[in-house]
Amino acid sequence: MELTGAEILGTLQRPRMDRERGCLVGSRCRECGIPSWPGRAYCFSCGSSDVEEAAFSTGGLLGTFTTVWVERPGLEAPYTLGQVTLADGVSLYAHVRGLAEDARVPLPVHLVLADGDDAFPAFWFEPDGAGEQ
Amino acid sequence: MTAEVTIAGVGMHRFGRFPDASLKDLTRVAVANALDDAGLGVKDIEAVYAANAMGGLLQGQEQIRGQAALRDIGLERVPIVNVENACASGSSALREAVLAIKAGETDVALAVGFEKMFVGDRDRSLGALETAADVEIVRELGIQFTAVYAMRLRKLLDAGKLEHRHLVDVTIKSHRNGALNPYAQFQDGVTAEQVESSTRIADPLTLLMCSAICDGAAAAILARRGVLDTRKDTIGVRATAATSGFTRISDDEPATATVCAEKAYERAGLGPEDIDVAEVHDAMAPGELLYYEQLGFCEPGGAGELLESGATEIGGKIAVNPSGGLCSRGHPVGATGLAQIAELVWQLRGEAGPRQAGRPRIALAQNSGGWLSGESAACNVTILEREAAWN
Repeated sequence: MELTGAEILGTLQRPRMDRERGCLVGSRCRECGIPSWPGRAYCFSCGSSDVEEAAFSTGGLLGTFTTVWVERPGLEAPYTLGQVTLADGVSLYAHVRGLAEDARVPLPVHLVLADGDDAFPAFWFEPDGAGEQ
Repeated sequence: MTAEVTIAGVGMHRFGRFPDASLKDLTRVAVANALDDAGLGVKDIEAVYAANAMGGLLQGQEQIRGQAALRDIGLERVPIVNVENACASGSSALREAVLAIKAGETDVALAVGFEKMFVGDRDRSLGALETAADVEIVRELGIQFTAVYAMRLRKLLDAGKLEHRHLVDVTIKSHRNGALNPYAQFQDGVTAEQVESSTRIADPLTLLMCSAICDGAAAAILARRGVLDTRKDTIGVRATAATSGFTRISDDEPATATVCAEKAYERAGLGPEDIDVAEVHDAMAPGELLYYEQLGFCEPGGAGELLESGATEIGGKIAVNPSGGLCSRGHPVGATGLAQIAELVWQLRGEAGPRQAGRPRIALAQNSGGWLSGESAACNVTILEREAAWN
């Protein structure tokens, strides 16, 4: 059957987070189980188009990070970027806050969603235990 | 093995800051130098592959960039195809020219790369660079290439596979080589103290470790073996390979450059141990260390040791980035891949002057571009061969 594009949500309409559950939302392949954030129409690993929407865990490991000292429009320097692999296996790049000066990776982190739909960044990660020490 | 495609001539416009030079001016100089090198005229060119990454955003020349840039030098009528693959645009144009000749469509083709990044507004230049990613995903995140390389390096530093001093030492090497290259943007050596104390960019990278905003152009003329009566030593294109970025499921999977290099080695019937001189994509000087591993020049975790051994110095067993690389020669994005080829052709012919790396026979260029999920979005590896014996 010829596709029209209406079969699934377009990339701009596809949800990236679920505020009520406080987690990121993407896709997972029904064939091979590989997840993706943001969600994709086809699985990048096995090529199957049999993918479903999936909510991801909020905890993961910070695999690497860098503190950037060059200001960008709308972004005051310094800010910290990192690569996080969530417990479900999803890997993504995001802002990281609250890292100690001498932090080393890998480091357990968790997701924090910003208040309000227009906030930037919409979410970031913080080290587990931050603010409790 | 005799390659079907040869490089008949190469040429560059010096890399650097040229406020009075237009894209057309930069292009004209590089192409004229390549034609002169090959002993050819403009009308001998049968096809053109023109590489540029940011002329749309920075000069407003979104479409027909090659046709516009080449008018001043009288290159018209022949097919001109515009090639954009971020920082890998130049090598992508080269590969298309090679394929056109191999396909039997063309005998003499020009691959030219040109870029003008100085536009009087750093934020515009950086904004254009940030589009070398999937903007629907990373928009406004503030991920520059400096941050991408910084994150790749920290992984190895924290795993104990690299020491901070290696980052500094490879930067000193880059600038030392650049100081020998009349085409380089930066031609002054630097000290460890200068590297350490220069402005922080993206930890652990400092300003002197990073390539800068840059203008420039580079060109190569490719010809089917036997169609030209060339006065130069023949340089054959032994292999080209191209790969696009992919989403890695784990860090254990090979990098884009590794996948691409393995394909190129297989096609050439060669291995990393056969390479005598290499130009690798060190957009940040310490990136060279990552590519030692990814291209197979050392075992995983052996990059620091390889650097310390001196093997990658000019005069070492495998000279890496004798030109100064992207960090010191400069990185005008669309021109870089062809500047690597120009340097390697000069090296293979023994024409590299004070930076001549012995008597190389096999040379490798690795040019990567863009960024997707932590990996390069595009990568090309080219292996060149000097066919004449050194006497």
